[in-house]
Amino acid sequence: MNRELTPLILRGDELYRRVLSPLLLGGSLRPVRPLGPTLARRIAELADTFTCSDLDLQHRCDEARLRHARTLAPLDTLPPLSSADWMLLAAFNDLLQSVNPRLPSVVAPSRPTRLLNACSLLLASIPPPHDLLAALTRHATFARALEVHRVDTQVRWWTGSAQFHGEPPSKRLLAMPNLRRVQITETWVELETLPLPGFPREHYHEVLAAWLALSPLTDLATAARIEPPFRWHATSLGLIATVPGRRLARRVLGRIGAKGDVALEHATRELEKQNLHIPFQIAARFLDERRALASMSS
Amino acid sequence: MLERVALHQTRLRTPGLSLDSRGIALGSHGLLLFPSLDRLVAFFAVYTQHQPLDDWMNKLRVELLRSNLGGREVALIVQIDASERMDSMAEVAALAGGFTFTGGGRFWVQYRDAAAPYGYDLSEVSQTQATYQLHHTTFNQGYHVERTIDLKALFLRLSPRRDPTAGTEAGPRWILAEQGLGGALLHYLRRSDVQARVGICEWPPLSALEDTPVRRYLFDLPAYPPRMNRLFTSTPGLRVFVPVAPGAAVEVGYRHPIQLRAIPSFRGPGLVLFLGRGEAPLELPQLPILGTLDALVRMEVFQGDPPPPAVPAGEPSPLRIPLRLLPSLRAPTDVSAAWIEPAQLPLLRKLLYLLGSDTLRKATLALSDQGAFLRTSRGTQLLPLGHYYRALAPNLYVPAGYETAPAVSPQVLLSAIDVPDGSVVILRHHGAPWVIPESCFVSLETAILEGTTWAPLHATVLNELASPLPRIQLQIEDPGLRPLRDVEIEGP
Repeated sequence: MNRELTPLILRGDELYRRVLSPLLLGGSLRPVRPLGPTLARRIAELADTFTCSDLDLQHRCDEARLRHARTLAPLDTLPPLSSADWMLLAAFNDLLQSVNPRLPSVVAPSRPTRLLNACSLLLASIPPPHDLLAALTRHATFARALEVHRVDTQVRWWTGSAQFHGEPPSKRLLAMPNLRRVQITETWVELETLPLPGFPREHYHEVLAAWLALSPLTDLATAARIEPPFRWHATSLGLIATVPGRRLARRVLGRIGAKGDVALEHATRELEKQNLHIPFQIAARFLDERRALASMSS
Repeated sequence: MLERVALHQTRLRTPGLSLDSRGIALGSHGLLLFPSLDRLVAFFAVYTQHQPLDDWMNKLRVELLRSNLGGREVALIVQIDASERMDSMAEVAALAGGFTFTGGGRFWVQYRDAAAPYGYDLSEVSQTQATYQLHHTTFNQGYHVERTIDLKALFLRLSPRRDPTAGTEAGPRWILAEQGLGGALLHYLRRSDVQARVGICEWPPLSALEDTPVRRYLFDLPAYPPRMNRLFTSTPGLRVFVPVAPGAAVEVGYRHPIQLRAIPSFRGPGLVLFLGRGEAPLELPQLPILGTLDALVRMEVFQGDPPPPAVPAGEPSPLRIPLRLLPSLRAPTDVSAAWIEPAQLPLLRKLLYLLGSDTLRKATLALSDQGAFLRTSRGTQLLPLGHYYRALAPNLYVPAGYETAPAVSPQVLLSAIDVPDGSVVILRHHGAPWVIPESCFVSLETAILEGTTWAPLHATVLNELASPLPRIQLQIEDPGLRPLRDVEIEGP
């Protein structure tokens, strides 16, 4: 094996096992050390030849991707992760690391901002999906991205309290619970609200929106989210501009509920306000069709 | 080693080799050895220019051989009955860069040439494990068969070559039009008084993401004015093909390397359309039903009453009046049948899912090219579809809301229509009544369900896939010293 490639393969393998496999199969997601644009691109160049060190895990991940894809289209096989998918995965890792409470330090408080800037640069270099299969493959990989959550634990005892973000509380603080009157409160924090006070919250939401825009089906599937609010992008409009794309989009929206429909209406109205006639017509036609089909099926 | 066969030699050592009537050493088969597939194609290209493959198309096979040294070559093995044909094949094979052998089974010797007019024979037969042992004056080589190559599939994979002169001459053409252009082209040809026939072709959807098949119009033009050439060849969505065989056509501007007319598999009943620009050919296993343009253009219906038939002068006019259907003021009760037009049959298929079991059991259906006639028994559910009918008699139906005039009894009506027993008569607003044999009516539940394919599934795999996935929990770890050491923001 080429000596220069060995570290890249190891980092890619680490990224696959610690980030992608939990994203597809569930469980603990442990982001790896921030990668940045250069390293992410170099790892992505190995996409065609990548094989995970745990072949069984890779097989289960492929099955999970196919399982996601088959909920939308009758496919029997999915292509492996492309270079763009690898860069998107690296960007997602860096995005999660940017809200790591242990990232900033006293001497380097601006690390989250620097990491988000690097993440924006990386996202700007990722091409949008070039056809329906690529969009479906990307969605099958990242469909559960917005299901990532962090468990924050608050421990109270008779003389004080302590907060733990995404890590288990110290055993020392849990000792003698009856005597010290220890109370543990767990809070589930969604991906949209991960930044703690003092972190660049708006910047984080901008980068998350840019990340979602690169997977238009995932963007549509999570349109009911609160932050960042759903907006029509060139990728999502390009998707619903074709008949098969509209069909896929309708399937992915499925039972998104009233919140999602309201978000789609708001986003379409934004296009109208900005006098973007053609995008507005594409989005409006899509919503009209969706309403007509909903009335037929109800 | 090979040795020449002498005149009047009677004994040959090579197994399977014998002398024909001219004294030439000939086996039951001939083997043409080519260094590559393109040489084989060149052989067919030259050979089919002079002779058809009719007689021996079913007697030949193409095999990819692998020599003991690892090299791959292509062999065309053909059953032969006379050395005259073998001579012509050997001549063309030499032109295409191939070697000719004769024999059968395992041992093959070089076919005759100028140096040995009566052919060659082995001086000694050696033991070999190869499938084919070929003996030539310049080499001896053993080969194993790697795989057999389907000849028709090979011809289909050949891309037509660009030839600007192909299709410039007048003559019959096939035109393939995309679905959106078919109607417009049909009317254009009819307006221009071009005699043509048209049909609809279907191909499977292009991808799994598509639900509907690909439909195109296929026009058969025996001739057309040259001024239309430019229109047909420059309009996107229209592809013009020159028929090169009864079952094959090549796109205008391209020429197929093989003379397809010489190959029996391209003589129908299907049609293969060879596309240019490296695209895969379009195959039609069966030519679609073609109708003349006159039958398909929009018709104008005469609005007034038809002129009365001429009555011969001098004869008394018979006291007979035609049967008419007049709107009735009575409420349309006893609706027990429905006529569903062909355009509504897709909707009928969807509504069938909603019918109850009682209706499915008791309703009967007759299907024709004019639509479907659905009869239900009293008290069962009727579909909200089609034109409703009520029964005047068990086998006589009249449109709901109409009554017959004159008001004769149903038995008189049936006798006037004079249909054979066991027929169902359907009176219509316009036109003659329709008559359907009772035997054409079948129970709805036996008529609608199509066969369903099935495949065994591994239950264990399905259970794993069906199990819910656990939630994704973000676990925070210390990123360590200098966590951003890999992150370099590149300059412009």
